Amino acid sequence: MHIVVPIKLAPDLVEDLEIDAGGAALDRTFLRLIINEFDDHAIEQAFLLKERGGGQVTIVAPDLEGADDVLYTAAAKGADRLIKLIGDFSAGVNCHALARTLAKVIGDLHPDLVLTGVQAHDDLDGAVGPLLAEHLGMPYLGYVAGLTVSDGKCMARKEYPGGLVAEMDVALPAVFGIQAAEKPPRYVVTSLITQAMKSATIEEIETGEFDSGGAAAVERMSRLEATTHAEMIEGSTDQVADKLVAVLRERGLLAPRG
Amino acid sequence: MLQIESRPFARDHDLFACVQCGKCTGGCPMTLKTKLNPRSLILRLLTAGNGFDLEPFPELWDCTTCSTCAKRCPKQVSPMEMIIGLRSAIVEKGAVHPNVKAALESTFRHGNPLSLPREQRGAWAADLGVKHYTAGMEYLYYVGCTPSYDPRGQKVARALVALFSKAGVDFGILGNDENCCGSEVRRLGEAGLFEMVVEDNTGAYKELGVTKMFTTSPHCYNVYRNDYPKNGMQVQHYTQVLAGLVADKKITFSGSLDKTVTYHDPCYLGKHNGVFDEPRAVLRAIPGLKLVEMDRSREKSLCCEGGGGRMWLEGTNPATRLAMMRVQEAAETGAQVLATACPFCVLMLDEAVKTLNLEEKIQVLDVAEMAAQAL
Repeated sequence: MHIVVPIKLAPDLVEDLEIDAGGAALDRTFLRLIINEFDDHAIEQAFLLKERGGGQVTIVAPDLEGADDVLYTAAAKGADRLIKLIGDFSAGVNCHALARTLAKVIGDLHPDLVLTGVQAHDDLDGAVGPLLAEHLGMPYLGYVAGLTVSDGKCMARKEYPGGLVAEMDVALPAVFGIQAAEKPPRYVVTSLITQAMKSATIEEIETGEFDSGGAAAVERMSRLEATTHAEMIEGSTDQVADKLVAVLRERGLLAPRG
Repeated sequence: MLQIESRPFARDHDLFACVQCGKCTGGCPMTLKTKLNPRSLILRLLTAGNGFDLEPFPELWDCTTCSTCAKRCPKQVSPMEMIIGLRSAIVEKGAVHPNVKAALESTFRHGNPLSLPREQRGAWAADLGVKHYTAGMEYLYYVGCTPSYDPRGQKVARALVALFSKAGVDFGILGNDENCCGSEVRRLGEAGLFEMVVEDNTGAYKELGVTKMFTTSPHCYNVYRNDYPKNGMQVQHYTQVLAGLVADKKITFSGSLDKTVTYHDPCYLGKHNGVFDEPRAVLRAIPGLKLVEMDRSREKSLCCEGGGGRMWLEGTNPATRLAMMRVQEAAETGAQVLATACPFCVLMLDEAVKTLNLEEKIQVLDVAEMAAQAL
């Protein structure tokens, strides 16, 4: 079983983010990138599957600051193959371009499963998975939070809003958008990462020109501005409850007392 | 299964010296509230053949590394170091609590365990005119992560700057260039990351020509004093420097604090490093202040549960909190102020005062804050 996990690097939200002079994108001058948290779950799910049923895990990352760290960290966790896509990712690449690029590379890897984060924490677009599946001619299932593989078939646990869960059989090969791995992504000790840096090999594959067609363009990016502040209701429990009811009635959220 | 080879582990940690006297467990503050039992752990490891599964022992993460066990052992065994070693074996397998994972990854990435930006580390001092440390200055003031980022901790750092500036001490800070000392990383069992932090910091201090350092936190003081390789750098906790300044009359208190105060010995200052008298000397020098002692003081001080990585872990019995017991003990002395000299203790005890609804009765203050108030 060959599991391929394409990952994306997204802004590290611990750092302060700035909007660039154009007003429609982040200022990338001092931007620090980190693995998209949903992709981190996709990697974890791949290792959980490998631990249960064997197989090979390949991680694919774009050539950006932090890509080597992510790849070596995955190697320290047990990844078998590390691939870095060489191309001009520096200005940001939209989901359509990324999916087309990934499809070319991943198609040649002949995967049984492609696991990718259901969305990335930068654009929350969630389009890479389905677009990639379309280009590869594979089925796609998103918002997956658990996978079991047996006899060339896969049972996926898909989450719906409202706490509903469906279990679906999916024929392989297939692409899955991972919402959460069955367990939180594991920690890997620094000494193992340092070891992987010495022993693991990162293969490089040229992407060629990106085809960004089909994507929506961002017109304006702005910070959320706080316009009103929360009002703290003081008093005894009864007074607070009365005041709360009065406020809800005033806003038409509760029917007036009949 | 979190299997370790127990024989080499026992040898490396001198567990064969254990005579099962039980002084460790008898003194362990965690045995008051959880299943953690150092004596029993040692016996199980010694009699396990060569395979020992750590999975059934979640209480290994309860240990606050207060060092009571190690201090009480008549055979110089350190159950505390044994527990850190067992944690290392668990961390190596990646089986850590998500909070611990976040703290370790943040230390690696941002130089602090709090997932806060490196670029804001020095912001607390922006309006204070504190100098950036340069070679030739007498002291590097190592602020630490909690006093740099936590609003409560920042008050202590600001008080220290006021005190040392008033006394004309020649000191500087590193601001955004300061990096985590790695104390909690080591105690959470991430030996490789600790090694990396030590290497980075040792190199940086050598390049800067640091010869003397004082710290806000006893945890940072301890790690530089006892866990870093000896490099000729003299490290002190700020209470030691402050007590010297008070004794030499370089700091005199013109104000007074008419309050009854009891002092809580932080484990990493007292039990770990034997610094009991200096913070008390500073408090006694404040006019009007009446110092009273709790029954459990000095070596017997009750741990607040903030050490050993427990700032990120609730432990197996969060319903019972030693910090709450401690605040009650302090209140029973009639003290209006519970003084201490550790950012973790301040946070833990402060929370306990709030939970117990004793805010009207007792206040938690750092020795530095009290001294600065009396300037």
